[in-house]
Amino acid sequence: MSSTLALSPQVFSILSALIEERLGLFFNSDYRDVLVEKLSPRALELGFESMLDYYYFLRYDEGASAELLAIADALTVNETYFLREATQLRVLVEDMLTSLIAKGRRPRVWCAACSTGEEPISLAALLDEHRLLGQVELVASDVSERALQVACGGQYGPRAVRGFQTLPPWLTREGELTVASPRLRDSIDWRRINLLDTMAISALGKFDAIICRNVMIYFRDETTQAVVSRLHDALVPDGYLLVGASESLLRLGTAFSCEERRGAFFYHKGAT
Amino acid sequence: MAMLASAEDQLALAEVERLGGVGVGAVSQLLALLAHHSWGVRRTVVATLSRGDEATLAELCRLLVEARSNEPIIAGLVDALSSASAHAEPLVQGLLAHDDPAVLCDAIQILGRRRHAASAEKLSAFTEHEDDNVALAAIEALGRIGGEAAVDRLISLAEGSNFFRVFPAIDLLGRSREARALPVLGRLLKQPLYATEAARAVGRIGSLSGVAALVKAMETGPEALLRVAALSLVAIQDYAVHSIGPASAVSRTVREHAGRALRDKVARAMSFADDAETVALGRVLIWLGNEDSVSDFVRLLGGADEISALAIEGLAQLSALGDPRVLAALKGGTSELRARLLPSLMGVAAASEATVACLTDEQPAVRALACHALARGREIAAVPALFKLLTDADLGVVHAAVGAIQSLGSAETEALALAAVESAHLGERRAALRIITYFGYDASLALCLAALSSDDEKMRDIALGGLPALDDPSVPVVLAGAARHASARTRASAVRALGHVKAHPASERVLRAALDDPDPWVRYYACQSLGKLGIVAALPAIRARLDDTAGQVKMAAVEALAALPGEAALRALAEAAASADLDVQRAAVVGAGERADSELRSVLLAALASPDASIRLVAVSSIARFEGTESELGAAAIDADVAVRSAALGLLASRTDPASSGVLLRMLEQEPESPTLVAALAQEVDSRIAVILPVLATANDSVARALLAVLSRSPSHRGRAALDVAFASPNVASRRAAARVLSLLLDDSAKSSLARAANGDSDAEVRRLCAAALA
Repeated sequence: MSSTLALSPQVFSILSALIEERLGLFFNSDYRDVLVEKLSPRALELGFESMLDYYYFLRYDEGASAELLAIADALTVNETYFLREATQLRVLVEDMLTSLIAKGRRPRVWCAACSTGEEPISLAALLDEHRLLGQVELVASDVSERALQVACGGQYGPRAVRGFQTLPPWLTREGELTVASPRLRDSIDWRRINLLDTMAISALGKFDAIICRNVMIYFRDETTQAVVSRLHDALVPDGYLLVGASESLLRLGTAFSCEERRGAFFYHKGAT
Repeated sequence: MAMLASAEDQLALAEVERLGGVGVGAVSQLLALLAHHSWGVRRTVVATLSRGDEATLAELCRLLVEARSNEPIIAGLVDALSSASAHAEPLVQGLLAHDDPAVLCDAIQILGRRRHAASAEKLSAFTEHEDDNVALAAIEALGRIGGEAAVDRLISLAEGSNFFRVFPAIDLLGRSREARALPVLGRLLKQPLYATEAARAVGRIGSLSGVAALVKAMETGPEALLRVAALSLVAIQDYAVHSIGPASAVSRTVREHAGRALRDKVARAMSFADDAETVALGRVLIWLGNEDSVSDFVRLLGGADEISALAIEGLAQLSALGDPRVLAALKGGTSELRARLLPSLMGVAAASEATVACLTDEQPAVRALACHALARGREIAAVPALFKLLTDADLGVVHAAVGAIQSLGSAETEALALAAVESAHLGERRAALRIITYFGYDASLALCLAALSSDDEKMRDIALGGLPALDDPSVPVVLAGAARHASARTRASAVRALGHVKAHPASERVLRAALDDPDPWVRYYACQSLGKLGIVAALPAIRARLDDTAGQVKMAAVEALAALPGEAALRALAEAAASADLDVQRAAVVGAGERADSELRSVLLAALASPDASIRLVAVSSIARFEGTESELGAAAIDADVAVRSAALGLLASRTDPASSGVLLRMLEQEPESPTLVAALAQEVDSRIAVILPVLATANDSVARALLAVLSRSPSHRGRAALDVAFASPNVASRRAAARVLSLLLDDSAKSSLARAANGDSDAEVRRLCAAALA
């Protein structure tokens, strides 16, 4: 029995189409080797002798949904770190959220693809720095159960802290790991959400700001448009969407207007 | 993709459309909309103005002269007139008589953006204008217009003494890609004020004739110039590789002209270089091919991805991947460095110890890579270390370790595997049983039989999967027994395994009964196995599975129909290919291809026209198994779906018959700029030369260039001989294209061919190209 199952172009085509249909993740033929590397062991463990058999399992079997979520874990690169693209988060806290709190509001912020939690924890840290932590409702979600487990556990390797020369007070070294402050982690409502799931997103309610950074790189343009449209609907009027520095929604044409504040870009939902 | 503009923007866009229909009277209202906050609205205003009639365009020209208080409006007028119809040209030319330098600048810019060649002479005169802005605008406009006269003027300006004329001329000469600008640029490389800009321009021209001057500049100039010159050398190399493939002479030419001190200078310059410059400098070090560079490349291993990749390439070129410094970097490096380095070290004998160290890396991907590397390197001594990974928490690592052990064999493997199969660790026992059954050790049968009694389903799976390989008469009976197991998964594994053993009366009964099993996977594997064993008597029962409630069972039924011999199975397969169920259709098309029966050809032709791209994709692969299907593959090569196109092209490219080459050539004649088609033809280029040369004999310029790009990619003497034939062709387009290729090869043979043609060819352009290459 081979330790690696072959993936023909034909099976790759239908497998990648299925992954895109169910998870929104788009992999073109350049990623065939990645799919083999990540999925072949899973197929073997499930007892399959061919990737076609594995495809039929994902396509037809009742147990496929759990396996698809495991695939999402395996295929997405959870490459993030604390205070990544921090300027954008700072402007969000110091300009938008501070202003809403001053008006007596309790803003809601959603980190929509939080991966292993560095981003929402960074946001919580900035809020805490401005003594606003208890005055903002923070929701963080990801499609990957494994990533959420890491986020809740709060223990990180060296790559998560590569932006620091010295650790801030909310991160402490324990052996070879770095641990995020339990107080910050506990201030976040962690959820497992698939961005393709309209109902699940609706159930979260409306937000004043949504952060969805460095996840749409995995989507085809059509999927990105659909996701952005859902996020637009999940914002209150005058709300803001934050995307990654290398992601631009301008080429797609959306209902947002793009604003620049102190060097950071935001997508603004109109007031009406 | 439609713009999803806000409601406010949509209103503005509707207003722009309305005003566009009004004509010249609406010009001022449209211009007012250039202050709108939406970029989309502003661009639509410009586009609307540019579509105006002659009266509107005349009004725009008038406003360009008389209403100059608002910069955004001026910019909008210039943009609109730059993209307007030909009516605009005489109107704009009329502005060249104006006194106001600002108006002149705008008029000149418009003519340049319109590439209005008829204005070139007037614009040349403006390059001497007393106002530097006007002169600069004229220089830039000439650069856009191009052509012999414009380039002549730019060369003459570059030879002058006015900085505000020379500097912009240098940049534009570079963008002109005219090799005859190289002599003046070569002189400017020696002038500190212009050297850096001249180096960039030489790079942009992309001619091999510029390499010597750049190398000289690197040797004699300051470090900043050295870095820019390196970038330019890489630009020339990239252009050459794009044009003629890897046979480019840039690296050879660099070595021919480089002095001994250049290597050290390049290595030192890396200390202050940014990432792009470091990559360029690293590439020069690779070309210089000096083993002193090993330490520089080792130091670069820890850099950004592109730098690290270049360093690995450099070490490979120097045959230094086994260098102790590299192995120390691997042994002590980060997971990221190890992940980059390991694939290149596969097969490097000296890397064994350092690779074994990677088996304990914190990253599972690195541990798996190390397993693959040890297997590729035939490192049998690593087998004991690989066995330790059978308890790894990561499945990918375990399977990689199993695969490596299976690949390596070794005298110790049996004992280690027999010990591991008794382990308290379940994962280790499973992995060990895979290894034992793979090698078929004496103890295999007993261990498999024992595993069949295990509480662990996966152990039973592995045992059942391993039994068919054991040459024992009891196997079919054991499998038949397991096919009645209480666990559905075990029954499924047994039924699947029965498909791998010779047909046996017991197994046939079991498989036919399994077609009615309550579990869909049992039915699935029953269909597969019956098909593999060719049990025709089961055909009616298999056909019934085409209506199974479980999708995967239907697929397996189709697969079985494809495998079963006889007319009845073939007819059933053809019917399945016409099913309303797309998945059934697709599976049937795959089966039809595997069967490769001429009676199924029409089925496949119909599938090629399916509205479903995945069916067309499998139909392409299937039809390729039939002879005489080049035209169908050619049609699929322009399919709307990229995967279908790619598959069809790949199949055509791999065929060396004249008909397939003919299809590719006809496609290339329609799309001579397509690098994909060039690559497809180049794949088996030597077998296509006889078909290419007749087409070249009558090709136009663009097709000739493409065909010469194909021929240049041949690694053989036949390809070189074909280049010579092309260079001697009566077709001037062929000779011009061949001259360009030879100018990028520039070996001794190419030089003598170019020298003969520089004096003797009947075409002035061929003579010019040859002379420029030899300058």
